[in-house]
Amino acid sequence: MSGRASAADDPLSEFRRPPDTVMRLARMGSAHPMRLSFLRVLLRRLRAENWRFDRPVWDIDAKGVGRAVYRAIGPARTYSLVAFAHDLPDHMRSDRVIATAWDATFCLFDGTPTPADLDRLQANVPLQEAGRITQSELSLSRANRSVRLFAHVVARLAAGRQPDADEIDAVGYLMRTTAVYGSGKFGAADRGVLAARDEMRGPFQAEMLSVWLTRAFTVDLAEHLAKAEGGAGAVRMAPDLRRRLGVGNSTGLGMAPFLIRHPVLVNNWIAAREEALARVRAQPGATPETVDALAAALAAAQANHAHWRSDHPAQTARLADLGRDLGLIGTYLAAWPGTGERPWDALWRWGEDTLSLEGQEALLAMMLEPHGPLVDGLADCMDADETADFRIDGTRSLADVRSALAHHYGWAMARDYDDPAEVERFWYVSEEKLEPRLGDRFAEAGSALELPLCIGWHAAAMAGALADWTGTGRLAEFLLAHPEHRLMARRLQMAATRPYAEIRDNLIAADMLPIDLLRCKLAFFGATRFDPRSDRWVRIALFQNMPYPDELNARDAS
Amino acid sequence: MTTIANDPAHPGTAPAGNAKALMLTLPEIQAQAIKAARGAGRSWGMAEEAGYAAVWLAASGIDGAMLLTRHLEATDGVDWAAIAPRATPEGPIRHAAGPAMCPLAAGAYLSDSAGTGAEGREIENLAFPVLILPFLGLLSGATGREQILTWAGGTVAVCAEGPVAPGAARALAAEAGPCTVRVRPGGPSPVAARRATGLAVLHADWLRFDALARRTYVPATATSRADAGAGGSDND
Repeated sequence: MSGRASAADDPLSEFRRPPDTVMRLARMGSAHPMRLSFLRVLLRRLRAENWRFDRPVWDIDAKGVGRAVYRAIGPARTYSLVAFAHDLPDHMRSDRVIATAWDATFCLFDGTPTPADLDRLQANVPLQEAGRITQSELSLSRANRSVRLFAHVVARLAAGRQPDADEIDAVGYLMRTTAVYGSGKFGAADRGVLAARDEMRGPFQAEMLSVWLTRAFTVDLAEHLAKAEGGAGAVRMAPDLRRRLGVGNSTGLGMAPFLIRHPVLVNNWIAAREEALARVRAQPGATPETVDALAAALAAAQANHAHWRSDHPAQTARLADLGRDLGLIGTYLAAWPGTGERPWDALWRWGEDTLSLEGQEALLAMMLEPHGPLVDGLADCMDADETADFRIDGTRSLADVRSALAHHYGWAMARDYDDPAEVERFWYVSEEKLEPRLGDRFAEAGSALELPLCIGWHAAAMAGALADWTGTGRLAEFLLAHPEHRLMARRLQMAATRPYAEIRDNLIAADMLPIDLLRCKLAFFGATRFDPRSDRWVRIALFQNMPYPDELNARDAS
Repeated sequence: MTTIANDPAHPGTAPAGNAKALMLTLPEIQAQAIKAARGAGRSWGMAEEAGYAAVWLAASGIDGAMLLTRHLEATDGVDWAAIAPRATPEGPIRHAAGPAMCPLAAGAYLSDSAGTGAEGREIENLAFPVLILPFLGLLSGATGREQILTWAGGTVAVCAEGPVAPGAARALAAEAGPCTVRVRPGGPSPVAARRATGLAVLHADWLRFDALARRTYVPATATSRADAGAGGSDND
């Protein structure tokens, strides 16, 4: 879009959703993957830049133990997934961060590893957090098998038969990752190294590449074991069935604090998505191609819904809403676009008035789908230099600070933090493998060690202290006397120019659902089949129905 | 607590490395410095300043983690009022008698006040004076001018990304203080220095650093362990 409009006459402003609408937990917990999700961004780049893929090392025995290397060769650099396959006894299989052994462990290596690199990594990567990697590695991760589906697939392929499609759809993956660490963790290279590279500058691109290559490894491992078991009679998996497999992910509270600790980054993710929606809504018409593409997106959403299962009551209800809403959208689209001036905006407004949150957010993802040329460039705006705004400007007058706090954190001031239900939870780090956890302030010990994730509470506390303050009129002197409000002062400064920086709900309320935080982040990754196992634990799938490395090689060669 | 094999949080363990030193990445130094400062009683916002400072020094080749640990140990449990500066927008940064002034607190106040006190300021009774340099970096970033610190032992000039001459900064790092320093603006800030991507930390220093950080962790209970998971088996 042209940049000529000033903020005052911004032609898109009427199409942009306000943060009070967008940044609510219930809506964030209904987020759907979309064109700007990080795995979609990665795959677009791999295609557009004609990346090549190979597997220079496959040293895995008949029991499925050994190592393998998958390379992604780009125009400027090569990255390699180094995979270690293990023989894990069932009693040690746990998806929790407190696990100490896994079915497979991985790292993403910067370049092509030598045998000496592989030996070094073999001594460290299987230990995960207790090992040590280096500036040559970009991520560290592990995965566990879906025991039942993995066994089914291997047995069928070994017997010369294809696996059952319903069995595949019921699980959706052969292995699920249980942690993917990046950015400077355990010795790995950090964002400062990656930000200078086009292909790694976007959020989580190293992690997404690692997981996508891991998906290929999971299928190769199953086919390898089938061959070992079935010999010449074994077959490989049919391409259409293989496509339906993604990589699972199993995750808990560890993912939640990230969204609160990275307000600038989160703002940029949400702002890019909201800008994309606004651009689509502002379109003066709908071409036949985009109308067809929207119909295709609805069909894909319906197919995804048909295979999306969950036993969690909250998600079961949302899935029922979604099923109904997709039907309503289909009915509406039969008479759409009509002759109105802005058909996309009319569709959106109808959806806001008619659909559940789950249906509205699904509609958003569908509406972006036909508009690649209009919105895909926004992916370049989703990273963040989080150091740029670190310094607090303490020369601001306290009158100015009070007014900014009331303006940007009004949502936080309306709460009654004397009500025990509003402050029942507290976030903390357990000494057990440093797992982030959530406790009951009134029933469990440890609230003195609470993490500062209750931003609404902090905003209200700072407003209270400012009301009582009788000292000079600058923020710097106030913070000298009240260092406990320094964290909030910095956030206020960041939020002043970033409308989507804060989640506008109380993150320590008794009725807060952590899975809402997880779903928002996972949707930005590109996750499908969100399946909560409790109000703070979830399984999802990544890369389902997307191409494999060999398919991109073949496409490029043809 | 239950001891878990390969648990990086278990007392006495450290990131693997050779027996005497280990390489920490900048994000690891930052995360650990924030926790250590919080563990020593600093507010979360000041702990963020400590994280920033430790990374800035490490990227400049100075073991800020070790110096920060010593400073935090020396002021462990001391009242904020006893180590915080007493300051006005334009004047010198004074300090009450007693324990030396916290360089993080003085530095944060200086960088908060960028643009005022333009002729320079005297800062008295400053502990571990090298820990104030990262905040002069912030000041330099905000004003576009290098910042020059003088003390009885010499002079060091700082730009946003690091000291202009690392040798001068290392001389200041050898000064445990307390001492009086003077900070004044210099010429236009020079181009950024090359930054290190990590820091070798002695194992013994890591243990002291980690001992402070560990105070921020909550002991595990059966309830806390169970509540954080899904409850079911992962062998499905």
